[in-house]
Amino acid sequence: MLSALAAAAAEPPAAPAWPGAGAAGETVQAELLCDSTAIAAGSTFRLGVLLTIKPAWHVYWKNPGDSGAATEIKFTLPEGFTVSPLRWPAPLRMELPGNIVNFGYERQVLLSVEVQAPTALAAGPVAAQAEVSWSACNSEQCVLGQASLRSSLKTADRQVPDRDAQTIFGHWDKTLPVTAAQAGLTVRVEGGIVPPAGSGSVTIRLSGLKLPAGAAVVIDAPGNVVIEKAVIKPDPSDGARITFNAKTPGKAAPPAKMEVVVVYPGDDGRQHGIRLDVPLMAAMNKT
Amino acid sequence: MRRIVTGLALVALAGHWALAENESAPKYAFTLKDQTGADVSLKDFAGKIVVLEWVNPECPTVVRHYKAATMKKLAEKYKDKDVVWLAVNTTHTFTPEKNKAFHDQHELPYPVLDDSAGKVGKMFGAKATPHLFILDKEGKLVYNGAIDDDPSGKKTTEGKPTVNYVQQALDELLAGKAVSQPQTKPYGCSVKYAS
Repeated sequence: MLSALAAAAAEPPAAPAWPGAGAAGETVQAELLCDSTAIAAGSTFRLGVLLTIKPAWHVYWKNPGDSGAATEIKFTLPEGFTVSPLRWPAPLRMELPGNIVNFGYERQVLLSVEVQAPTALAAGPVAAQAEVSWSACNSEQCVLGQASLRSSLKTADRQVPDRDAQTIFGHWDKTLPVTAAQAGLTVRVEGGIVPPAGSGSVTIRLSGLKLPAGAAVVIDAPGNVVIEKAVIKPDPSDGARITFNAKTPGKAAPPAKMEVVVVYPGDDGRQHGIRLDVPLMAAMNKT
Repeated sequence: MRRIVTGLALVALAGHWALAENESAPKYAFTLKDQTGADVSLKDFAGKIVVLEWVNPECPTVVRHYKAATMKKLAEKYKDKDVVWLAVNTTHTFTPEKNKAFHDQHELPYPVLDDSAGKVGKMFGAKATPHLFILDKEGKLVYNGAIDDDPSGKKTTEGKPTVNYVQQALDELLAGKAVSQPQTKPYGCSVKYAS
């Protein structure tokens, strides 16, 4: 455990060493990490599953895109602990032959949660558990994998941070998408789905964004919404704009908002993202 | 201001018409070799409902459905109702011989067609295995998407209710109704095109 932490901390997340020493044919290795060596009553700490992926393979974001299956993690802690929703680093937009677009991760990713300990904590270690399942693919094949990870968290009067683990969480926290406000952008959404056609085009104007090289758009489209031709381009007048077509082929109404993320490789070699919550119906947007 | 609004509305309508026209015109035609090496043409099934199922015997999601015989049971249920089931394998590393091994292993009541060149996969825009398409009796595309609403298979394992979109669409078509869910998001492995 310690050596794995040290190795991961020493390597930048963009190019982790592939341990490769696991079972034959293993494509993904999963490890449960805590950012603290001891937790305390009322403390907030981070738990994460570090997935190290064989070169040329990938696992999927919460929305896999045209094919694939989302990585799933279920954290279990004793009663009284509050666990945040899973925090997903900015994914890669991957283009495959046959006009297939997938959203996911290569090499390594830390999928994490923030945990709030109860204000009263019994003495003794706390059992933390993560049930992980993934679909991993390369250009030739896909494999399904799962891991049942357990960790015993020490308790103390005061929280004790784990410096090596803090470095790893620190790396990956920087890859979590920020909001448009945090990125200093003004967002204006035009168009949207028009009833009764159940379809329409959407333009998102991102004022103040100097489009980074290699930027792409990834969309967490709800199950009953089909998104086509999503592109991001510099806007000749100001910033950048995202355009796509949206349609709802079924009878069920789409949810009010949809998550759109502008992803781009940063100067630090990590993937970054800006998250936009986009209203889907034209009636909610400017015309 | 009023003028601009009108202009936008027209653009949106034009887009919708283009879409409707696209999907109503019978434009699909192909001939592929089945697992015995015999030619199978879409036009052989004129006047019938045709289900096209993208398959890859090496994909774990496909393997799960074939263990449960999801597709085989469905094909058998509708075969006497003028519904033709065709499995299409676009995996670029496959051959009719390899498709025959898969066909025989599962004793399939339908042919497995060799599209290792990827032409028909691209014609339909097949993205995943499994990915299903239904053509109505006029050859119009009326369904494009997943086999069911259980991508991980967990609902089935836990005994929860699932919706089989293909069964739902076939029942609606045979009852003379429009397909209520004409497009869903396919899940599974990406189709392994050569290029």
